[in-house]
Amino acid sequence: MKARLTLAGAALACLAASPAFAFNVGSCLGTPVKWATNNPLVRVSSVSFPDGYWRNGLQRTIDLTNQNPTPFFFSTTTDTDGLGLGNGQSETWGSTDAGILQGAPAITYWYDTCYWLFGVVSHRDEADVIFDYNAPFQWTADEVKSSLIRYTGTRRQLQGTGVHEFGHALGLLHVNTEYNIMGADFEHIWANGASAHGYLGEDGADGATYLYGPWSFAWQDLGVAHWKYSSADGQYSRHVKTGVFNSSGVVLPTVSVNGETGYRVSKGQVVQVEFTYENNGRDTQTVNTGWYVSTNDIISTGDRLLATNTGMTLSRGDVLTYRRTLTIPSDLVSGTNYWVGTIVDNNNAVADSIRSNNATYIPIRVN
Amino acid sequence: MSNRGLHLSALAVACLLTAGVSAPAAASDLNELAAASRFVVHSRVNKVEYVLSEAAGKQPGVPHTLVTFDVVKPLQGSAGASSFTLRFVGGPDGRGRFMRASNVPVFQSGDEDILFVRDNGANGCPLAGCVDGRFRVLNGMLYDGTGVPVQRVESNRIVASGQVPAELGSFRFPRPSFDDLLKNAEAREALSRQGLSVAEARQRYEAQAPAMIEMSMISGGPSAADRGGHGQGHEANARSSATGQTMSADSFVAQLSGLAMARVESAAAFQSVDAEARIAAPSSQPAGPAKARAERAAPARAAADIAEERALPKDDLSITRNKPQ
Repeated sequence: MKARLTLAGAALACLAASPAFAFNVGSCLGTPVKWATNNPLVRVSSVSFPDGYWRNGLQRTIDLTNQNPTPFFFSTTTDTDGLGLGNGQSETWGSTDAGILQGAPAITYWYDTCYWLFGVVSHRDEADVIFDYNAPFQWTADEVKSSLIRYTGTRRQLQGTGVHEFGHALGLLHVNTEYNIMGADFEHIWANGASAHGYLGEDGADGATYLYGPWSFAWQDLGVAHWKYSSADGQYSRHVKTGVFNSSGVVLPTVSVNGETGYRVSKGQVVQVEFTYENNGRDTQTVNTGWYVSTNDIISTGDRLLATNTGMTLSRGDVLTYRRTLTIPSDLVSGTNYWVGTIVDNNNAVADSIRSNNATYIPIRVN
Repeated sequence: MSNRGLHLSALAVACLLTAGVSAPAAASDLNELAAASRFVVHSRVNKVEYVLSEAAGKQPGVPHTLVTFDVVKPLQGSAGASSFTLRFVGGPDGRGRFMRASNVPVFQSGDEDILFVRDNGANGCPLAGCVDGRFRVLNGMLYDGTGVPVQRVESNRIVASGQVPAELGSFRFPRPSFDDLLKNAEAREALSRQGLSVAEARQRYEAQAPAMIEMSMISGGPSAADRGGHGQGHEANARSSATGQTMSADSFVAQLSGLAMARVESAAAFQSVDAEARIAAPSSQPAGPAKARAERAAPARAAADIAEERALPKDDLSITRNKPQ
C-alpha cells in the first residue's frame, strides 16, 4: 500500500540567526523533540554484538552515553523478535546493506511524532542505530589507544562513534562550533596511559540537560582532554590535539614519541601547555588544577607537580581550552621522553562520579 | 551555570536537515564526487511527494520522498531530459510521524541545488556521497548540503563553515489529513480525552491546525564563561569564529569544468525513478562483526607502568545503568 502526499511550493520559514551556538536539538512546531520517557529501551542484535567483546563494547557505549547529569538513560536488552525500521522498537545492529547505510560509517534513523491536534504533539518514538559492517571492517571495541585512529591504530572506536549516534538517539544534532562529540567523534577522545575512549562531553551533557532537565542526583563530572576545537567542516566540528608552545605562543617543534606527537623542549624553558577542561556534570565547580611532569604517559598525583591553579571555575556549557605557563625543570635528562600532564580537581574536592577522566598528557622530549 | 540563552537558530538546521550520520573522515572531495556521479546538474525542485515502502514483517512501510528536479543547467553529463526524479529515504508517514535518515538531505519545492547524481535512488541514496553530493544555491551563493556556507575549494576539497542562512533553515511538510491522523492511535486517544465528536474535531482541526508542519532547530546559546583560576595562563581561542566569504555558485561551477571527470558515465541510460513503482522494504538483516582482537597490537608496557595504571581511579557505572528518578 502506498500513501501519497504532495507538497507544492512550500515556503521556508525565516528564523532569526543566533550569534552563538553550542548544542543543537530538533524542534517540532517550536517544541523541542525528546523522548516522552527518561528510560527508552535499546534492543541489541546478538548477531552484530555477540556476547563478550562486542556486546561489552556496545554496553560500554551506552554507559558512556548515560554518563550525563540528567535522569535520562538508555537501557539495553537483547533483541529477540526481529529488527526493523518503524517497528516501534529502538534497535541497534551492524549492516552491510548500502540501502540502509546510505554511505555512512554509522547511521541513526529516528521517528518523531510531530503534529497539531488542539496543541502541538511531539515526542521521539524510536531510534535505530546501525553500524557499517562492510569490509574492510573499521571498528574496534578496544579502549586501548594503540588500536585507535588518531593514535597509532587503524580502527574507529565503536564507543566514540556509538556515543555520537546514541547522542542522536537521545535528541542531539550535529555541532560545528566547538569541541564536542556531535562533531568528529573520532577526534573527541579522553586518554591517559594506555587507555582512550570517546565520551559524551560537556556540550552533549548540556544538550541532554536542556532536553531532560537536571538529575536530582548530584552527578558531578569534571574532565580534561588533549584535544580541542579546530574548525568547522560542514556541519561537523573538527578537532586537533592540544599542544605545547613557547612563551610567545608559537608552537614548538614536534617529534614522534611512541607514535604520538611530542614537543621538543629545553631544560629551564618557559612553555605554554594546552589542555581542554570540561564540566560534564550537573553543577558549576571551582577547583584546584595541577600540572605535572611524568616519566610515562600515565598522569597521576604521584607525578612531579610543576604548578597549581586555584580557583579554576568550570560551568557546563562551553569547554575551556587553557594554556598554562610552565617552566621545564632543569634536572630532566636530555634526549629523554617525558609527558607533561594535568589533573583537574587534583585534591579531590569534588564528589566526582567519573574521576578516571580527570587527567591526561602531552608527550615532550627534552633537548 | 547561568545566563544560558536558547535561540531558535538556523545554524544547525543543517544538522536537522541531514542529521544522524557520524562524522566523515575528510571533507568532500570534488574528484571523488565526480567519479561517483552519472551527471552533475544545476537544478530546481519542482515537486516533492511522499510515499511509503512495502511493509516487511513487523516493519511497516518506511517513508520515502520523491523529488522532481527541473534542470536549470547541465554541468557535466546530462539527465537526458529537462526534469528528472530521484528517491530519498525519509519523510512523513502521513499519520503524524516524520522519519529521518542520517546523511540523507531533505528537499522542498523551490530549492535550488547543484547535484552530483549517482543514480535515481532505487538502490540507496541517489547522490554521490549522499548529502555531500548536494550543494545548495541561495541568491547566487553556494552552501553545502547541510546549508553551511562554502568558502572555497582547496585542493578539490570543499571548505565550508559558518552559519546556515535562515532561508536554508527549517523545513515543512503538509499536515496529515484528519482522517489519516485518526489512524494514529495516540491521536484517537487524545480526541477521546477531549470529549469531542469526530465531526466537531474534524471541523476544528481543519480550521485551526497549521497547513504545514514545520520542523526546525533549537540551539544552545552562550553560557557563563569558565575561568582558568589563579595562575599563569590564559584561555586559548578554541571556538568557531569563522565568518569567511561565501563562494558564489558561478565560481564553483567554473571549478567543476576544470575537473577531470573521466569516470562520469554517459547519461543516456539514466532513468528517473519510477514514481509508481513499489518500494521494497529496507533490509534489516544484521551482519556479524570481524575478529577485531586479532588485529590489536598494543605495545608492551613495563610492569611498573601497568601497576601505576591499575592504581588510577575507577568509576562506578552502576548508577547510570538504572538512574533513580
